[in-house]
Amino acid sequence: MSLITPEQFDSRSFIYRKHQQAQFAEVAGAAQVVSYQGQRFPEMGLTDLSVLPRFGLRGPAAADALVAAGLLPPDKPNTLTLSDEGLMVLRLGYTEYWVLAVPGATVDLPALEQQLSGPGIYPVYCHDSFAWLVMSGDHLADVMAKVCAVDLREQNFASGDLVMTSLARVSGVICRHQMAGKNVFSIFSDSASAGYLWDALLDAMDEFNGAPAGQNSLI
Amino acid sequence: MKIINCPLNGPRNSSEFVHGGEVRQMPDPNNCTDKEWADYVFYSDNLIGVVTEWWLHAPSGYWFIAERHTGSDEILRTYDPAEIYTSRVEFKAKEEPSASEEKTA
Repeated sequence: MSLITPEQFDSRSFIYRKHQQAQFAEVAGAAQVVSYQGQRFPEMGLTDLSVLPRFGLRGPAAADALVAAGLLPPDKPNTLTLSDEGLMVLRLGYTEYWVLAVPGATVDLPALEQQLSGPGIYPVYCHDSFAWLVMSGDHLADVMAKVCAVDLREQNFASGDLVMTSLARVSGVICRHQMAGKNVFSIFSDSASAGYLWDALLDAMDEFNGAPAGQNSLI
Repeated sequence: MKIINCPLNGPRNSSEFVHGGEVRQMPDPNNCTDKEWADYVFYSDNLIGVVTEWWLHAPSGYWFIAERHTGSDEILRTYDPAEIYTSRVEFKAKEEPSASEEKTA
């Protein structure tokens, strides 16, 4: 039985009330769902990783600062890089970057955030204002075709690509990348509408036996 | 649904975009008259014909410029604002005379 609950922490996912019958673990000063009781890994899973640490930066000096810190900023706008240590760098537009750690990564993001500051770099807050949902399974593009007008099939949206568009009528960032050897979509969307988006995506996934999944399915 | 070609994100549904008004030359805020400034801020030409306008791709927060025919609503061209605006615009407040200068004057 889970002894850790989201209510024990000041920092919570915006949709923690949606996670019924879940087992939590403490991650980065908050409760992260690791699995749901009595459930095997579903064919298509939707995982809430909103509590995991991340930060953003933008400005004319941002790209050079990332290189100086030993990171791999993407060459082209609207793409991402994922390092072997599990550090992900998204490039949104020309001069905005988000730095994230995938579950299980051993990266000191707060130290990196301190290092990535200075003239020509402006912080971008993408943690408490955005939900991070990860969709995994074999029918990613089929599910997204029901809620999003952009063609997200693999031939037009390869691993390492991202789009900023509207899905289920709310704005969001959709990224295709690998997590634990699986093809996944990471979806970042405004925290205020995260509860709606969670339900809307699960509804779209229902046809393909989709269900909420814990972090354990992605490690 | 109409499709607008965003210079950064590519062709997208028009519902993802927000209109931002005409692209106009800003008068020098420190030296222009109030009437010139009010004209710049509050009034638009509202022409029928090809106009140059600001548009926002809302999901990415990206502003760009579009040339649109206001009669046919056809968008002829879209481009990055860097084609027109090559340097950052800085605003400096007028220097107020300091208290000590006022006393001696």
